Amino acid sequence: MRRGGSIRGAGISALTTATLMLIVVLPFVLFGGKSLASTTIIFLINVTLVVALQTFVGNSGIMSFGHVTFMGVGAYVTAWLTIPPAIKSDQLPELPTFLAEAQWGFLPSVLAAAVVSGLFAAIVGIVLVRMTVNAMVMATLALLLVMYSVWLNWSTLTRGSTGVFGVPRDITPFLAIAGAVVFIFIARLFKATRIGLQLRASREDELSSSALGINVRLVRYVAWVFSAAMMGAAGSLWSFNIIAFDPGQFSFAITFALLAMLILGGKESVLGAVVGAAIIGLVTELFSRVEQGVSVLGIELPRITGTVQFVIALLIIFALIWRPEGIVGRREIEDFIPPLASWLRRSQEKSEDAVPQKRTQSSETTSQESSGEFVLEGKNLAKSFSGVKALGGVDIEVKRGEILGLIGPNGSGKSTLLNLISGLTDLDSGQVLIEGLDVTGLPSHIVAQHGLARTFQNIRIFHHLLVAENVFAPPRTTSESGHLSLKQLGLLDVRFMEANTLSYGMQRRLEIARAMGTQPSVVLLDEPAAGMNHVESDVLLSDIRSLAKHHGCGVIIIDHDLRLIMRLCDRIQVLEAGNTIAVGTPAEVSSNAAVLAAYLGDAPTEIDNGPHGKISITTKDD
Amino acid sequence: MLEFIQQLINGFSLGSIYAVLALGLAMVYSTLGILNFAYGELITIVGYTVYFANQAGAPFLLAAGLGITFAVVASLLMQFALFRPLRGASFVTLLFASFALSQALQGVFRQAISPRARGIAVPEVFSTFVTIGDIRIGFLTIATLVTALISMGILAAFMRYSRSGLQMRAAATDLTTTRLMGVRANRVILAAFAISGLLAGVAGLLWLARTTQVTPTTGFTPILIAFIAVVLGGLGSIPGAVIGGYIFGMLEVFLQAYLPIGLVPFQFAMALIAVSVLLYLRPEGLMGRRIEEKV
Repeated sequence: MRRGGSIRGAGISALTTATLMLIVVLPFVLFGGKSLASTTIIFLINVTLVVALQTFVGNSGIMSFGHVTFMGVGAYVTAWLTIPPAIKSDQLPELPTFLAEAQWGFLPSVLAAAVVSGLFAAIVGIVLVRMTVNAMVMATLALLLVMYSVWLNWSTLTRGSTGVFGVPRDITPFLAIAGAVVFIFIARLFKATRIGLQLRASREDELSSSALGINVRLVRYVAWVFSAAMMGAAGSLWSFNIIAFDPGQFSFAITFALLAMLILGGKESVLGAVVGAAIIGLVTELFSRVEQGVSVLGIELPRITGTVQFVIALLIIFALIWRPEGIVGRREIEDFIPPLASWLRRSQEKSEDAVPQKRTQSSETTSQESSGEFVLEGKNLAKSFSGVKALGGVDIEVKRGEILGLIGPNGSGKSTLLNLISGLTDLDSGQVLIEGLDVTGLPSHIVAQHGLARTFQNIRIFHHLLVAENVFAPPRTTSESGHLSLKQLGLLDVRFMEANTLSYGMQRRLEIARAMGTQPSVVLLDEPAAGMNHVESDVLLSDIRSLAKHHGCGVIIIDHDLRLIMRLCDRIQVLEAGNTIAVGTPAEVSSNAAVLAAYLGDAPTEIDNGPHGKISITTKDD
Repeated sequence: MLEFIQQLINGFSLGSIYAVLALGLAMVYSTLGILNFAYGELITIVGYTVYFANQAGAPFLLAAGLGITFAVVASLLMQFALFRPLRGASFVTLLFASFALSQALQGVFRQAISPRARGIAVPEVFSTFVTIGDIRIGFLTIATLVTALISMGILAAFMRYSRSGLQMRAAATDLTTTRLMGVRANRVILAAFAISGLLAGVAGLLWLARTTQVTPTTGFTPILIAFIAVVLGGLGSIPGAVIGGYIFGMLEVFLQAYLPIGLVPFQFAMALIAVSVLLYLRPEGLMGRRIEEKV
């Protein structure tokens, strides 16, 4: 799962997908005659459009109703650049001179379309990525409508509803094939890049991905612009085939058709995009014959318009009910060809073994001298939720290599404290320092980038990503540290499995591996042993201890399993009702009267510090 | 000043239609988290019902009553045929499914009826004017305002004082807990769809009284406006939907009235941009609450 290795794997996957597509398509192009060849070109252009859409929608998980806008930008840019000046002056007399005289070639126009679309998306994107996901979906819809009305009314550039014509028909079957193949490669490679991976992580769980250092807005922005540029280029290819077009073509009908292709095929997979384009293409071809009127068994059927749209709509409804993840689901081509998949895995393992597993020396070591002994200091942290005081000025600090247990009754503020430290909840007052650096009030992904990692009370792994992808998504994780982390938590053998398929205990371990892979200065574990049996939690305990020693990081651990906490921790801090009531070694804390009262009420209690350091708390009732 | 008042009344009237429209959409969203794109087709159904009832010689009020009834029935059918099999699906899946349903219904209208527009006969009284002082207001404007306000008043009273209304408000806060308290989820859901259909029926009549024709794609503009109003007001907030509807109605009327001639074609685009800016400043909408995720 090294980045180089996975990129190579993605390349091979794209190559296989493209080859299969060619095997299907080439006979049509070579022997199919003119009509079939032109149908094939339409299919290939649809592939470019859907794959471009998939690059954003599939990886980010955010539905976009607005991508057809960028197709429109690409098409109009192409029209301005390529329609012969004589025809152009007739249709668009008020076009700026440099456009009026332009007569560009095929490739430069496609690239210009991509650049202009990308720039436009870059401007729109600044606003868009600040929104919540649902608002963003609505905003893409607004974008589609706004730009449709702009195309319709800005006649100087678009000739309004009449439309423009005269784009030279420069597309050939082989150019269309080349276009589709290039797009499949770009999309499949993008999915495998670190940004693509982080985007998919944010799709699975936005909150935990930012808590691990992923700048969700940034990766969404990059994908938005990138995918819009692809869409622009695809729109340019489209216009080279269709020659004449008007604003009505960049509206709902095509948006619906493209989304239908994507959803039917499987929106999280590049292969799915291609398959979806093929199926919808086939249905369209079939039923547009019906629209023209056909005779079945000698009976002349009436010409029915709108059949294609109707059939596609029904297809989508059935697909959403029976197979909401699409026909190929999340799988790529290699998942359908087991020998290919296992070959890719083997070659990846080999390339990983070839990397010397050197102990990574990260920035922690250098900053160690200057930072004093604490890796984390929280001073006077306070937080109220609508009047209810959750934390009333708590101090907390952890030294390098130290394990601090954080205990307290339910509602005492333990999780709130972790959330304040990791920047997930805004604090009312107080200060947080990591390695002596003030991170108070910074967003969680920046806090994480400064060396804080955490796990969650309710497991928040990236469910539909591979185990290895989970570990490698955070930006601080390197190939060596990620690999080491997988090894230390015993996940190497399952690294190519989907995280979802792991057992509960293994999912907890994966969350810890994901945190440790970031080479943190301090790691927060929120009930890591919850729901584990004694055997599992004993193994986990010794693992945490050796991890802390090995990485030299500070650990804060919340757990209700006092047996585990007492044996594991160097120091224990006890919270009650938002305040610290005791801090000290396990022995000090377990004999503290206030702690006993908080845990067991006022009933007389007795703590038996057993012979093997085992602690048992018993009340007189037992 | 006079013109301003006149525009204000126009804006208020148009805003009332939008508010009722948005309210119908918000009823289902707040209970089930579904933004029903096919909601617009309910308006088309009202249109065709009124058209055919008229053709058969029914008086306007009967036709209107039939229209509203059919909208309610169609809304309930949507729940049974589409949303029930999809229960538990994500927001986006449901949105897209209803989008597909909307496309399919448009296909049905196109094939079963006609792709061309059908005129709807509206009583002549709607095109008369009322003069108060120096202000001349269309009867339709007033009728719209009154009908919308009465419908919203009845709904508010129902939600506030009836037991079913209380159950629906509880379901809107937390459907799962409401079920655990012994409220029948199916009843609440059906009520939400029925009310949604009812409001679509009322809004549809008011809408069609303005446009006086129905085509297979009649529902498209109303659903977009309802969408915008609901998002503007804050997804999940019922008063928000009403406020969103009024704001968008005002925005449309005033942009139309005061925009320089050259920019009038961009009126809708500008209104949308204004809404987007608002959403940028307040992503959760005007009345929406920011929901903190529990971690």
